[in-house]
Amino acid sequence: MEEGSNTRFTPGSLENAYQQALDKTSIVAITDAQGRITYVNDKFCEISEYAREELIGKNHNILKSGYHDRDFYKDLWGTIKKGEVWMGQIKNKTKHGGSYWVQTTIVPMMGEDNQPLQYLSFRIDITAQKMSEEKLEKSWKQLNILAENFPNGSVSLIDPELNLLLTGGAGYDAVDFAPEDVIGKTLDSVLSPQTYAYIKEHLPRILRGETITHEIYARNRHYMNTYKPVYDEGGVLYGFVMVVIDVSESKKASLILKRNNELFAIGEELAQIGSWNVNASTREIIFSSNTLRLLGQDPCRTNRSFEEVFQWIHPDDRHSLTDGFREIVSQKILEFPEFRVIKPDGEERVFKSLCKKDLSSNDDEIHVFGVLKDITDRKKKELELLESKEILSNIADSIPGLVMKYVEYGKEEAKIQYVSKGAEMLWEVPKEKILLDVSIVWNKVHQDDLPGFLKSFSKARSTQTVWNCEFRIVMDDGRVKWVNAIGTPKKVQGQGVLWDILALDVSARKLAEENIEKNLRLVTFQNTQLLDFCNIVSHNLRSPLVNMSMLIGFIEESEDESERMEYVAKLKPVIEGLNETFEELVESIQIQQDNEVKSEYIDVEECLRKIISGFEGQIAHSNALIEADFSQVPVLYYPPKYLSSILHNLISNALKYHSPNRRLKVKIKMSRLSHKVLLTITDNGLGIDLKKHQNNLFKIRKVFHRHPDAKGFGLYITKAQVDAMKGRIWAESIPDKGSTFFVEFNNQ
Amino acid sequence: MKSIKNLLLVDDDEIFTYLTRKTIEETKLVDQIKVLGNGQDAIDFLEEVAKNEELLPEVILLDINMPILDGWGFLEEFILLKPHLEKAITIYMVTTSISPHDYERAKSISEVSDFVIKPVTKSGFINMLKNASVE
Repeated sequence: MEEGSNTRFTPGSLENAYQQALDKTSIVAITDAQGRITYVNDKFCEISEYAREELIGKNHNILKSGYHDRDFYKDLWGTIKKGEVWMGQIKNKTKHGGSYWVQTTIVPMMGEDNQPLQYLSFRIDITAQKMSEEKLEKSWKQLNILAENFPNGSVSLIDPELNLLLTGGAGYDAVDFAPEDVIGKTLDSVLSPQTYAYIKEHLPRILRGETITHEIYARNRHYMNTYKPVYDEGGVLYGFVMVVIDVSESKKASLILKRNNELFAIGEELAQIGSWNVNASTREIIFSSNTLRLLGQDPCRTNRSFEEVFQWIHPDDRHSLTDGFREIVSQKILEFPEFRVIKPDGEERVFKSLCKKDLSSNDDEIHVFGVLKDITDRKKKELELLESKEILSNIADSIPGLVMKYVEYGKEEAKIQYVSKGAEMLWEVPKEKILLDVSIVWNKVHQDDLPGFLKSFSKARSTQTVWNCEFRIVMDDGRVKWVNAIGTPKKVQGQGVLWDILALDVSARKLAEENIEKNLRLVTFQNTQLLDFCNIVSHNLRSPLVNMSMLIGFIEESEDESERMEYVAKLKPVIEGLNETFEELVESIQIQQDNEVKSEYIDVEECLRKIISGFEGQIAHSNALIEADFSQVPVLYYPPKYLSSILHNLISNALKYHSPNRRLKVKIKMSRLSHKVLLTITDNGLGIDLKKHQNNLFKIRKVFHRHPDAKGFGLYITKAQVDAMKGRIWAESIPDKGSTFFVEFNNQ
Repeated sequence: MKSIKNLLLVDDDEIFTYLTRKTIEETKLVDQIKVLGNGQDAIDFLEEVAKNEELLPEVILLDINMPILDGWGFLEEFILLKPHLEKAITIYMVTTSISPHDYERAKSISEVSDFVIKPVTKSGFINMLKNASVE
């Protein structure tokens, strides 16, 4: 046998040729029956890394790698010892510890005793093939590990015939079978009918190269299935990958997110506000649908460019907005000035917007979140309110009087909320001063009217009823104005009392009322005089006339002369009485009509002395005591004739109606009361029952005593004289105790 | 016709009372005529005879204008006295007053049967007395 590959071919021998071919292609060795190597060719040496002389004579097991177990060798030896050919794959060990795989055929060469003499072995190097097989197995294992550890779902490799080649993943925890149970099975026995049907339906598309995703709902969970075709190195379709991911959690999260967004949108709609945010890098503003609705824009197109949005804004307001936007540097809330937006339909609306830099902003990218509100209606209302307030204020200012609104806090404190222009004219104080201090208003109230004013005011405050009061106010120069004030108090929780007050100048009305009152007094007085006159005519004049006519009747009818003479005699006193009455009336009318009567300064004591001297006889007769006190009023300005008549009549009455039971005392006094002088004449005489005679005291021919001299004449004339000088006369009396006559003289 | 027993004439005018007494006497309709000069005297008299039917007048002719207590004052007192009187009394106001004010005032007092203006003729008295006795 020749060594090496360069063994020369010996022609002519088939056996030789065959051997040479074998030598070139195979690894050849021959061992004896005990396994001792007797021959190796070059290829054997090459692959085993041994030199030939190191191998010859050695047992073949020198190459044993330890990869195969005992049974493997038992089977091998059992086969060849029986004289049969053994074929198999053996892993051997090289001299230097490497290994190699050989496809081995062992042919036993039998002796005549049918015992093997030697064994011939042919080997082909299959190391490369074995190595790739090992590699494939390893990757398949790794794939399995990968699949097994696929979290949150499963991953599977499926061939075009829908056989499950590989599968695994955490998703198998949820089912009652393991991945290894289903490998090699077709999908129909593994998947739900729906999913299987879906895959069947879409298989052509998958196999054409599309990646398909769909969601399924099973076992109360949401899954997302993805099918993607896979190809081998040569680009030949191998099958497809099915990835199943449990998306329940993210689905739930996205549902919550969706719900939150919906709620946010509802919130925006209800609040009539919109929101927007700016992505500065893309120069876009992202609007919520409601914002776009408010702006009159298509609510579906949420992303708009700066330039587009800019066009919506009223040209006059654009600058203030862009200027405002530049100020967003800090995290502070920025309030844009109000701006107008022109809607596509031309309507102009007013908006207000606030914004804040988003927390996720950094120097390179600024995110701004803002809200926006349509304040057109509010503005309109504000304007209307302002207008109506102005109108009211104009109305209030046009009132020629004081219109005031103020709050009383506690006892002393008050704050004016409003005072009209008219207050300046009426109160003659500048409005500004009143606004500073409300007490300026009330300090002008006339002293005499203050108690009534305060009483009614506090009553209205405590009863919460309308206050109405008429009072005078005194100007700085002393002029007096009459004011009628109406006020409504309103208790405001925690604020005090709110007053609305209107005060008008009623001086003119007051003057008219005073005139009316004066005229009424005059008319009443005149009416009384007319009644008196009627009485005088009825009684004092008609009476004697009636008597005369009756007497004349009797005289005419009488036939007896002496009887006639008797009647005629009765006529005389009647006529005398009539005459007397007539003269009295004339005198009193003269007093009433006497415009000529002149007042003079009268020495009162002197005047009294003259009168008393006229009564000397009566005074001496009745032993009367007369006292006079004119210390306060020594001089009176009055018509002398009237004063002496008044004193004369009153002293005469006191003397005439003295009590027979006691000594008469008469006290005469004059006292001063500012511009008036009061004369009092007090006696301790018979007195008059004023309950009965009050109304008739000063009437003509009224007699209250059974005194022979009582004529009912003096007081009538006295009153006429007092009245003529605009004075007053009245009396107080207790029967049988005495009387006091009062005469009030005016203009002293 | 039933004659009147007592008639009271309250008037301060002496001429008038003299002539009236004469006229009434001529009618023969009245037994007794009493004359008093003022309201107070008349009240005093009525109080005195309040329980005496014999002396109480059936008719009073009352003047208005009198001293001390006039006709109106008399009426006020009379109203108080009336429940204590044994007899109903017919009162005529006989006055010179032509004042509608007096007339209205008299009308308003139910105790006054009529308001008669002086002078009164004989037939006038007869009418008054006849009416009074019918009442």
